[in-house]
Amino acid sequence: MRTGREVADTLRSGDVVGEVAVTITDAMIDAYAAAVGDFDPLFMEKDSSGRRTAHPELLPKIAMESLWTPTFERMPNIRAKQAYTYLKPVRTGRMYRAVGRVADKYEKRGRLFVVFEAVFKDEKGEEVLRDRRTQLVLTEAVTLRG
Amino acid sequence: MANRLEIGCQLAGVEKRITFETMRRYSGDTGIHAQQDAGKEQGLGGALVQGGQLVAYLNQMMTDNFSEGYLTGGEISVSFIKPVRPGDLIFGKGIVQEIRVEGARHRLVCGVWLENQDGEKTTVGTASAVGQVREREE
Repeated sequence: MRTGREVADTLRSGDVVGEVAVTITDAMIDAYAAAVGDFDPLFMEKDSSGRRTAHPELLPKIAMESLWTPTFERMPNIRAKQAYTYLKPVRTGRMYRAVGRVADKYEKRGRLFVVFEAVFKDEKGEEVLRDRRTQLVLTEAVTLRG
Repeated sequence: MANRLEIGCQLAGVEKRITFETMRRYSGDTGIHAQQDAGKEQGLGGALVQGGQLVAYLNQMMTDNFSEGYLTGGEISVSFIKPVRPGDLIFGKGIVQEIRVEGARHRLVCGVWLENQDGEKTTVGTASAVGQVREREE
């Protein structure tokens, strides 16, 4: 079985590592609200169109299993950095698509980092959310305390 | 009396108790974010909270303060500098650092962070929101 480093070594900038298409539901919002303890009416109540607004991190979290998990299972890692841009609210009943790609790879102080990016688009093809995450590859050089 | 945010003002914060239950609700029942042994096997010293869950707490702070102004043009960028573990009490904090004019709207840029019960920062970075500020009562 390959080590995390060996898998990371096969990744190149621009590589597509996953794709997702997901429709947001009331149940997803309810489960997420319970998971993070955020029951703001902004997310729990329907607007005049009968739709609810999702918590901003819900969509990338739901998409993770399709976009990143297949790669992360082969390449043990933890998140070192996270950046999101929230361009438009995400709504129930709407479908969102994204393609996950390798954006960068670098070493710093003996640690190996891989950067992944995904841009989520709505049914009109308009961008709604940008996800850029930096993962620390777990190798023998990495230990965490504290 | 309503209070509007200005440079130097502290955001209304959030407080979260971390337990295995809260971690598993977010991350599932297995793996480094749910099981002590899994975390130790990976050299992580035990189970640790998933980064997305920590971002969720900072997102909550931002929507508490800025409502839809965070959902329509908001940004967040953070580094995870210290593990958050089961049993930790986490405080989300922020301070307005800059107000930028972007065409017809304003962007409020905040330094944001999570710190634990010992006052140690675990997650640090910036977050910003645009437009109207959610008014707070004194």
